[in-house]
Amino acid sequence: MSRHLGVALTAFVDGELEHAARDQVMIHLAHCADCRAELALLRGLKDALRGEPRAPEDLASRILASRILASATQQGQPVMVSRPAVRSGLLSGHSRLRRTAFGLGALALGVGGALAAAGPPPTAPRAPVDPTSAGFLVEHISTAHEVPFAGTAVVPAANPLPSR
Amino acid sequence: MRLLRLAAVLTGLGALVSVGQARALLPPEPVAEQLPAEGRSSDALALLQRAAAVAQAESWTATSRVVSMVSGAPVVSVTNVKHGRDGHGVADAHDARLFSLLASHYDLQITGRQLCAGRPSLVVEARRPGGRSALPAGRFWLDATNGLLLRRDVLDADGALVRRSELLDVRLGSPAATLSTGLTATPPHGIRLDQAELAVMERSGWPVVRTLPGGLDLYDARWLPDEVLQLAYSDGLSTLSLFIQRGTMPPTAAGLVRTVGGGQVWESPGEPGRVVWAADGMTWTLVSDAAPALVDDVLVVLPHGDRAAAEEGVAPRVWRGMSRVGAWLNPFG
Repeated sequence: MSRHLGVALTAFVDGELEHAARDQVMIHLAHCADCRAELALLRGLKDALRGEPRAPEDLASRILASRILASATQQGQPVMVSRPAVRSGLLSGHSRLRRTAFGLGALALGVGGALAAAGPPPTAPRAPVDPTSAGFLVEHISTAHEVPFAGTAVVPAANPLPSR
Repeated sequence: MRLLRLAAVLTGLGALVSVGQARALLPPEPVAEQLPAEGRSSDALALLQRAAAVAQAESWTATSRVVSMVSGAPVVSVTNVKHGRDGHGVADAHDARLFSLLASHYDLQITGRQLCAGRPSLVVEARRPGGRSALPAGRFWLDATNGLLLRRDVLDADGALVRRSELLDVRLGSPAATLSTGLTATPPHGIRLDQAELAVMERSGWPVVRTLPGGLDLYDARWLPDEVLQLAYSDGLSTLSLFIQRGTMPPTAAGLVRTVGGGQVWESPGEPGRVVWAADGMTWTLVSDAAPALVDDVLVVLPHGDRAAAEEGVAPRVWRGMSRVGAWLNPFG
C-alpha cells in the first residue's frame, strides 16, 4: 500500500466521514503504522486542545478493522482507501502541519493562565448505562458453559443441603 | 432474543419446590462400592480432559439438575437439556480450559468409585493445597463407561455446598441432526480478544485485571456490543465475569446496597448473583456463581469511587488549564 490517508485522516479524527469512508479508513489504519502514528498525534493534540483525557473510543473499531482486514486479505480483496469528498478543499496540502503548528502555538499562549483556568477537576458528562442488563447474565453463562436456571425456588435456610 | 433462544433450550422446567420437594429432588448419596488407592493427579486430570473431549465428540439428551446456594438457601432448577457435538448446547462446566485451571490451582486425586445417578462412576476430588487433611473444594463424578461428567460439586472453604450440577437419565448418541440451532444455546456474543488485543485495551486505559483473589485467573475476554468489556475468571470451579463499561450508573440502581472496599455496591442475589458499582468513570457489573465470601474478597481489591478526581495534583491541573486555554484559541476545536 503506497498511498496514505492524507486529509481523510483529519476528517476521520473530526468524525466527518460517512460510514463507508470511515470503514475504509479503519481498514487502512489496521495495517499502516505511519497513519496510525499520525492518527495518535492528531488525536493527542486535539484532546489536549479540548482539555479531554484520551479515551479509547476507537479501540473496538480498531479491533474490528484488523479482523475485516484479515478477512479481506484471506479473500484476496484489495483494500483501497480513497479521499472523501468531505473537506476536500479545506486546508489542502499541508493541513496537518498547519494544524499542528497552530495547536502548539495555542498551547504556548495558554501556559500563563493555565492554573487559573484549570478550575475544579473535570467531571466529564457520561451517559447512564444499564449495568443490570439480562444480557450480562446470558453472556456469563455462555462463557462459563453453565446450565442456566430455567426456574428457581428458594428453600428455607433452616434446611441446608448436605455438602455431599 | 438471546434470552428467548436460550430459554428454548430449556424444554424442561424449573419448578417452584417446597422443602420436601427439594429434598426429593436431591439425589440419594452415592454408595461407595470400592475405594482404591488415591490416584495420581495426572490421572485425575486425564479423566476430566476426557470428559471435555466427550462433550466435543458426543451428543446427548439428559435431565439437568442444578442446586445452588443463594443467600444461604438452596435453589433448585430442573431442566431437560440437549447437547450437540462440537460443544453446542448445554453442558455444565465441560470446558477443557476450566479443567486446566483446576489442575493449576488444586490437587486432583481419584478418590474412588461410586454410583452416580445409577451409573458406575469415578470420583475426582479437587483439594486445596495444604496436605492430605485439606478440605476438598470440589468433587467430580465421571461415568466409568463413557467418560461423561455426570455430577460436579463446588464447596466453600468450610466444606459446605456452593453449587451442584448433575445430569440424570443421560441418553448418549441422540441424533445430532435433531438439534437444530434453535434448540441449542448460543455461543458467547462478544468478540473474543486475544492477548495482543487485550494489551491494547490495557494501554488504552481499560482496567484489565489478570488475577483476582481466590485463584480466579483471567481465562477469557470479550468485547460486547455497546462498548462493554467482559473479563471472565475462574479457578476451575467457580466462575466470575466482570462487565466494564464507560458511563455512570443509573440514578435508580436496583439491588441491596452495601459498602465493600470503601465504596457502595448494589447487589442482586441470584443464580448467578450480580453486583454493580461505579469507579473511575466506569460502571462495573460482577456476575458470578462463586461463594459470597469469595465475591467479597474480589470486590475489596477492585476499584471503587473516583480516584482520578481525588488524586489530581498540581501538574495535572496545569496541563488541564493549558488545554483549556488552547481550546479557547483554537478555531478548529
